Amino acid sequence: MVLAAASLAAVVFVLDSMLPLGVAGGVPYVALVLLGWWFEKTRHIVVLAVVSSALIIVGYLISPSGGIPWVVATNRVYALFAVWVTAALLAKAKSVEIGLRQARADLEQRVEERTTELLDAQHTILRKERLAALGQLTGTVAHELRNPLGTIATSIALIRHPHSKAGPELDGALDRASRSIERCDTIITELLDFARAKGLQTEPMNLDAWLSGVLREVHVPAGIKLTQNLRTDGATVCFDPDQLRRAVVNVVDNACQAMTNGSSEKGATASSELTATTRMNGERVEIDFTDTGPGIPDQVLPRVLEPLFSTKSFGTGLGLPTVQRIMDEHGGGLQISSEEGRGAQVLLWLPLGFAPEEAPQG
Amino acid sequence: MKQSKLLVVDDDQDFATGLARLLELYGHKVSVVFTGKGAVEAVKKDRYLAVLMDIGLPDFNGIECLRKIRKFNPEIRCFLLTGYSAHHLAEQGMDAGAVEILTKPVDTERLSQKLFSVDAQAV
Repeated sequence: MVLAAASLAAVVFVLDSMLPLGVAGGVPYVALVLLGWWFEKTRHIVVLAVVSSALIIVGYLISPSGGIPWVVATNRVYALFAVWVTAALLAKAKSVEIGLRQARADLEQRVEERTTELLDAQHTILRKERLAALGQLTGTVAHELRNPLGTIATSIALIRHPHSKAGPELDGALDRASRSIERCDTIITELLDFARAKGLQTEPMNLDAWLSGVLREVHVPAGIKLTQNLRTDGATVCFDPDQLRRAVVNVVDNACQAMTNGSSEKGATASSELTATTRMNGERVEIDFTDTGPGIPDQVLPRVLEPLFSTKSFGTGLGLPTVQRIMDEHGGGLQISSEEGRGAQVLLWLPLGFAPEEAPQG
Repeated sequence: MKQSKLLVVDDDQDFATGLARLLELYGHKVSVVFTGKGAVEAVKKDRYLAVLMDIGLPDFNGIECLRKIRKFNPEIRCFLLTGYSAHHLAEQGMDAGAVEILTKPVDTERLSQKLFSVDAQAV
């Protein structure tokens, strides 16, 4: 910019000193001051104004005469005025621009600092939430394991007692111990299932045929009728059979427990029924489990998918959250609807054409 | 030895039944209920020396239940049972009138001896 300013000054001065610019003399020097906008500092504008002023005066003295002298002199004075007004306005604009640039730099720095503080705070909150969740999970698992361990302990003490006799009393103790061991295993399995990070092992399968096989094997208590309405017409769906089996068994177990507990509390004699239906619905295939149990109370329904939430006498509250995780991993979903006293409907759905993400190599 | 009556209250039926059967072998007379409401009804109908109550009952918690049953039987001795740590519940439980808070699994033999000494003090 200095070279440009010097070149312009030189050109204008040469023209001024060689040509009789007359009343126009001095005006071109304003252009030199305007160059000051592209300089870094305000004082550079002042320097250009001083140089322009000097050249206007020198130019007046050495340029060829042209026009009425006092008019030429007056216009040189006007040119000086124009130069300094221009310089003042430019300097003001420049200082505003410099101020804005500085303010922007300050703001960017403050935003960066504040972003760092927020990220640190977020990490702290996340860490505390993880620790709190871990604490809650640990407490729940410890609590859930202590009951069956207590039953096993009393069963062993009863078996060892010198006054215990072989027969129903000992058989009862052994049965309670056996059930308690199964409970412990279930609790640990639920925990592992909830926490598992293993990817899906999917394969294309005839969903109706597969589900029919699973439902034949699943344990349904006496008094509960399991009805199958499998209507996807042999649709082939890509899913992980092991994971989906866990989801289906969990949903069936929940429904059976609800119907068993419901009828024992109410003393109802009506038969309990669980209906499993499959259907195509646009781009997805649905597996619908509808039961005739007591339903889910309004205040409980929004929480049933909350990890560790349970209304059962015992249970980790991880069953349905695990089902949701499995369905989410398949790109599908889980919907639960219910009206208290009118049973519940659990809908599992899978997208057609699901392709799981590739696991990273190595 | 006079058999004083004990009441076991726990919604875990296997745990409650196992504990009751073992205490009977030790020489106590034991009744079992599985809900807080059941406990209140039992105490209304009969006189119990002590109640062994789980804190996590399905209808109302053991501490609340203890307050209710003490209205019908102020002298009843209550042992609260919990699967969590006993520390954070100690103050609430003692305020409600519990004798002790026990963490499951319970040392049943020690508990039985304690119950016999409670029985002896009541005579």
